[in-house]
Amino acid sequence: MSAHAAQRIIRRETHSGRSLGAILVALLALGVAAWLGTETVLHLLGREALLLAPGTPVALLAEPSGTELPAWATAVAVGVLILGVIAILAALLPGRSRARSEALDAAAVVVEDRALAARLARSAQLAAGVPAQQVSVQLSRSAARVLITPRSGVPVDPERVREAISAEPELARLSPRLRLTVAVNPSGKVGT
Amino acid sequence: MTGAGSAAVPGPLVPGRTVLSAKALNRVTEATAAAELRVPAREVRASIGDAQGRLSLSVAAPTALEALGQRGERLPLAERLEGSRRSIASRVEQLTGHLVGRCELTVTGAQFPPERRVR
Repeated sequence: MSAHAAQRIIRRETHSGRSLGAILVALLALGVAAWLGTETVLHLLGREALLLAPGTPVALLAEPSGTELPAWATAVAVGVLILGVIAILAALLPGRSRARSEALDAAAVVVEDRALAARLARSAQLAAGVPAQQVSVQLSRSAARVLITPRSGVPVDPERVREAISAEPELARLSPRLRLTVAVNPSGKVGT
Repeated sequence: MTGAGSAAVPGPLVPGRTVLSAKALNRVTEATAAAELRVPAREVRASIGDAQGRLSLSVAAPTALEALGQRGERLPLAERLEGSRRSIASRVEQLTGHLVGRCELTVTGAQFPPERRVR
């Protein structure tokens, strides 16, 4: 597999697709265009409009201020505004999925965040000697934050836990590299 | 205790953990306090909590007093009990291997051991 193909595959797997949104927007545009065309033809033929004569929205806007817009017009406007905001966000945001890639020469490897977090939590748990439910891992794009709640009376050295987690071979292959912080909860839990 | 944390323990390293439950810690504390105050363990009530990551012991127990005038303790009662409180904390720490951050002792009563007849 060429490096380029691997890059493409990783990109596909770590970002959510925009094709569904694009298709929906295109269909919507198609529908609106067809409707506008129909209304225009009907108007030119002097027939009654299906929903709205082409000039009506303009006429509504041109009305002197103070007159209330009809309720349906407000509703349509709000709906269009929401759709527009969603479309802009979809276009601009990267749409990263909860996964990241691992650099291996021979293969395109994608690790889901859930799997990675579980891996880090397990490693932290073993190093700290606490039960699994007393470790929490927060993953963001470039940082991992591990919080350990110690057992009362048994101190946990965050530096040792950090070292144990850093020893995971998987971490070194991730791109981007994770910044790892280990914190120990100041209050512990008794008898766990 | 974790295998990684106790290098001094003899024997091969086996994965797993040994856990002292809250109940076990409770019983150890009660027994320690009972021995320290020289009263029956069933009259001692202990509760275990957390104090900044260390154990917080809270003990309610009666204490034994020598009959007045006989082999009496030299120290005033308050000082003697303060000593008991400290030794309960350090003894529990020593027995369980868990650090004790706080120890409260409430004396709920006094017991007088039966007087021995002079022979």
